[in-house]
Amino acid sequence: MKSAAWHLTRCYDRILQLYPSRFRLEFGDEMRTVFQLQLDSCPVSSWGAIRILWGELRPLPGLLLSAYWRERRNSPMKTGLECWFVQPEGSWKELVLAGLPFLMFALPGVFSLFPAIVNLPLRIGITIISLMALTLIGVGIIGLFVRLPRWSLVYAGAFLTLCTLGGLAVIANFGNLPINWSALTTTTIFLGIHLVLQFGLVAGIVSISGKIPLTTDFHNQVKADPSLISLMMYGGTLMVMVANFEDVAGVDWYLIAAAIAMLLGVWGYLRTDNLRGQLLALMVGNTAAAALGLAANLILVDTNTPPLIIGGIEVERVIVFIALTWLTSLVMILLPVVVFSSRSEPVAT
Amino acid sequence: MEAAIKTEEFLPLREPTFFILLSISNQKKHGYAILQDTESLSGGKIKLSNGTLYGALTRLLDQGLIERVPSDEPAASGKPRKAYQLTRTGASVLQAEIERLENLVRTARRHLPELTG
Repeated sequence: MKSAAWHLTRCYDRILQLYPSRFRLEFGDEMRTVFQLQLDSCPVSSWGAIRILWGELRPLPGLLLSAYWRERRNSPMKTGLECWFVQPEGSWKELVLAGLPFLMFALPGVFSLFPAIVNLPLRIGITIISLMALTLIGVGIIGLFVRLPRWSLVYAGAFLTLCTLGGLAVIANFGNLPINWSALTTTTIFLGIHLVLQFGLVAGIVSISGKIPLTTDFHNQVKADPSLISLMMYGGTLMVMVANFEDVAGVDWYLIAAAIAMLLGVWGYLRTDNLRGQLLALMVGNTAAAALGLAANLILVDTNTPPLIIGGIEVERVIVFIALTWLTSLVMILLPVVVFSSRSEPVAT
Repeated sequence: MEAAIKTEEFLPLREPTFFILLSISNQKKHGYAILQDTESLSGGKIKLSNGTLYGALTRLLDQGLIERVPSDEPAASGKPRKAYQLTRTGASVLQAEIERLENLVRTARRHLPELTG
């Protein structure tokens, strides 16, 4: 059983999360240590510990205001693109940039809620979608020019997955490849080839990035922190998740909720500073999105297709399909850490 | 001359700031020690919260009155612990504040000898 001090320290960690990122990085650990020492000095099973926490909460609004004001005043002058696209790690601006693809994912669901938008002429709809795509491409390219900060990896992963999945779909359709024996084999083969292609591409990109001046920083960062590739892949899993909502009528709210779940996954990753927490955040975001996709399909789609027989058990095709997309996503998130961690050189301590 | 003008700009010090500077006037100290010192030096009148202390320390660092240095004591987490010590400007400001307060008391005593004893 966790002690009261443990719970209070967790509460204090949450309070520290409210401070500006630069302040938190500089003083967070120290403040946490002081808080723990204060708790240690408290008599056991007294209200003293709670009083200490209350003492921290009372002046908090004023302290946060002045901390953010100081952060703003002291932030170095940035020019051009950097002003908008180079943000401190863990800041809300970084989250907005990293979360944009997920917000775009939710937009079709939001649009569907308004009949006025649904009834717009087709060319306006195409224009809106084109603008959204162009925005994502534009922001992604800017990410490359500002030396691939963390937020831009989500875009890189999304584009990469779009290329591999899109390329495979085109080959499968136009090449008339025999991968349509059943939902299970089609999906497994399709996603399996996609995974191999995707990781081949990522390994190639990471390797080449060390030789290009614009991406050397990225190369070094990935070597030091392989979870960055997981974040990149998380952007890619967005494209995999889209498939779960395809051709489902009335899916609006599910789509919005799935986008929010994935956005929260990114938020958790960006605000956490340990590998386990970061991976957990991404996996939870992804699993929640997959679960919402499954719920949408089971509730909204009245399917007449016969179920699959797997090991003598009847299973709905949609369950198999979504389970496979979910597993693919988890592999995409976890495999980079396993592969790149084992390849990276041990850090001298 | 410039240093003198600079020192004057910081006066008068607020009570918590005064006790924080006083706490680290003899030796460098880490956050928790400053917190305890502030309370004991003020006779228990000033009980700073952790957030208030670090807000004040950040401001004093920005103003160049104190500096952050590695502590001699290791932290429980194993990470290097940081301590705070007065800079030359900080020491001048503290000295100037003490003189200002002494002047105030001296003036008060001169004008009201029967009240101040």
